[in-house]
Amino acid sequence: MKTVKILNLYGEALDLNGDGKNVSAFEKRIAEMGYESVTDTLGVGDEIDFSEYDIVFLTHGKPHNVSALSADFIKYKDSIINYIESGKTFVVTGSSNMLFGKSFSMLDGKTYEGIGLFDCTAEEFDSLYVSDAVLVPEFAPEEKMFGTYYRCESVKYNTPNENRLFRVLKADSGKGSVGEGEGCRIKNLFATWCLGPVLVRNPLMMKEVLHCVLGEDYRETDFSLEEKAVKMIIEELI
Amino acid sequence: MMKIKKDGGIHLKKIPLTEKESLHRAYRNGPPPFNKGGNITKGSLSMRLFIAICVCRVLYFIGRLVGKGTAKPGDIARIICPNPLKRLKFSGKVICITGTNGKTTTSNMVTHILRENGFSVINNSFGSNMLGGITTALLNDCTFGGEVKADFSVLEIDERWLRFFVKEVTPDYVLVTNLLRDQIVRNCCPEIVLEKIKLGVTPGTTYILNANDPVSQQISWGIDNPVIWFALGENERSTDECRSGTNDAKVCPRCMHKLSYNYYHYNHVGDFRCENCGFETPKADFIGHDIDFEGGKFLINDTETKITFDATYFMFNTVAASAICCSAAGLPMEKVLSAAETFDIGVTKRYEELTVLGRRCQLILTKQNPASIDQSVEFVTDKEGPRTLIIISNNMFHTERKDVLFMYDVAYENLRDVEHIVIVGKRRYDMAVRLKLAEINMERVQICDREEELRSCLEKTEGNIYVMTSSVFSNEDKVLEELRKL
Repeated sequence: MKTVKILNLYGEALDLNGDGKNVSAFEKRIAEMGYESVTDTLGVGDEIDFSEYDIVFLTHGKPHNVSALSADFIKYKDSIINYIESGKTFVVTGSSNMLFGKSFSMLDGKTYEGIGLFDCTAEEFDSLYVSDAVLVPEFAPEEKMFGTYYRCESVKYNTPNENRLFRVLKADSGKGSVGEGEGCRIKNLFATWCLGPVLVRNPLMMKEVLHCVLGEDYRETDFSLEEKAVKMIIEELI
Repeated sequence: MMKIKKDGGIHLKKIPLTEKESLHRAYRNGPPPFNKGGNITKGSLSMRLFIAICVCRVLYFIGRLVGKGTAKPGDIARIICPNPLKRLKFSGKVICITGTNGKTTTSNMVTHILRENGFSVINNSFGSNMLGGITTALLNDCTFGGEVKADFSVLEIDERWLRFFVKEVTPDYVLVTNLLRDQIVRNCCPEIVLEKIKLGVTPGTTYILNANDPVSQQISWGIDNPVIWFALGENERSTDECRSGTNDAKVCPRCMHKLSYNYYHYNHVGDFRCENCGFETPKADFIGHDIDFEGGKFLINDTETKITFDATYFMFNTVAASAICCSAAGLPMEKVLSAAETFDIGVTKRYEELTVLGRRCQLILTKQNPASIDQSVEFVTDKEGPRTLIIISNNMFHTERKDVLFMYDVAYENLRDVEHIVIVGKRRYDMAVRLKLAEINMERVQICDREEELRSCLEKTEGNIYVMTSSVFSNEDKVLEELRKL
């Protein structure tokens, strides 16, 4: 029987607003397809070999925790880039995106280094941008998804973001808003500033991620309840 | 009998100030000049203050007649006389009670205990806990000369507003009940609230902090203020694993290594230790211990008291209130607890009962915060079956946003044994998705698309009915109205 190996990277430090449920939902889908999964939740103090895993989750966390983890994350810069270059699947949500940029500065005045995969910098501000959003994924341009933003960081791209993951059809404006394009897709890296249970509530993205991990081993499962729930929200929003 | 860990560990060593903490300290020691609570104000009484007091009282009186809020009179008074609280003379001590959950109950209990022991107390229990509401309370209770003639001013303050209050009045005591995940639209995470509270640390104030809460414990980092710790000891309801939907201290806030727990009370509140850096539960000055749920009694610092409301969080409130009353009023524990036993929590308001289809129906009012909902879940799962649970699932309060992320921070997994669940409200399908993820048997779950269909849904169920609702805050919710008709 096929076994999928999952890494929930810093899963204990970065689990705000239900982001960790993306991992649970992924595990359940794998089980529904008749496969097994093994999840390792690793963090500071652990030695991590990324090549062992089929998928890595790095989820949204408290600003303080993201900055406190950056030094540990940087240690794995080459391993992470090699992992992504090899075409394996990596899902990043919310504030953890900061770790992939050039650098990010926090309200305490300190600047932290990222791994520089995204040509952007981020800056924490002393308020919160909150918005529901309707998104059009680049991997399914005829479809729509629902997203949620809670950001206290503004992001500045040094060069245009040509690898965006979503076109933003509807979201509130204001400091910290995401603009017309959002997120990043490099090979099978899915990085979005949306946070929370993105995969749980968006069958479209869950299926895409499952396809990337399983390839020809992908099996259909019942998403009807999730599809009805997300459709209802999108209809209310547009 | 349960094992009691009375001594939670050793006191933490003094931690060097971080850069951010140094900023806080600089802020605290610099302007604006604070008015020391309990002393006569340095500011002179002005005609503006007199007018503000008069206007505030008239508006409050009119507001009560028409059922309006309590914050507006204070807000308008603040326009007439900027910083009015700074000009008041406090003849007694000022106690502020803040935190995520339990501040209303604790401040009402403190008020009750002090009054029962002959002290005069003013408080803001009638209304808003932000600056406007507190201003209304104080201007209503002071003399026209601006003197607050009470032994104690016990003020419940919103955790984000404390820092503004202390610019006008320096409290003698600040009690922080706990810091949990709450209202993410406002607060993002407990650490953001922690930072706001730290910005309001004032010299001379004594802090009363929850030793079992690794988040609010951080208020004590880098400050010179006296700190009094309260805690609850291990008991038969303590768990080895966190049974709540959220735990905001899985990792040590100081070094990011895994935080170990000897036991949990709820969420991240428990007895903890970081094996890497030594961060741990401090030794408690006031501790609830030898908790005998069956016998309905427990001890606080070796003095016995009755369990008047059977909930862990209520025992925390009692220990916290005791800590305040013993410390601020110098009362002996016996007198404090004797008065605490006659305190009425107002259970009927939170757990109103109806008869629906000839069955007992209990309304459980919750806040849209995971800890509050987890406690409601526990309330239902503790009941004998068969049970029918109605979950009213709506958009976010105030904003009507549809994200409802908080439901993913609640341990709905604990509902697996509940016999029947009916979901109603705008976000009913999102709740169904959440329950499916929690591995609830979906054959037991009915999604009620219209309030009018509640009767037919309930007719397919049996047993007592429990309604988890926050609908007192939602004008458009017709569910309760419909239930009252059945």
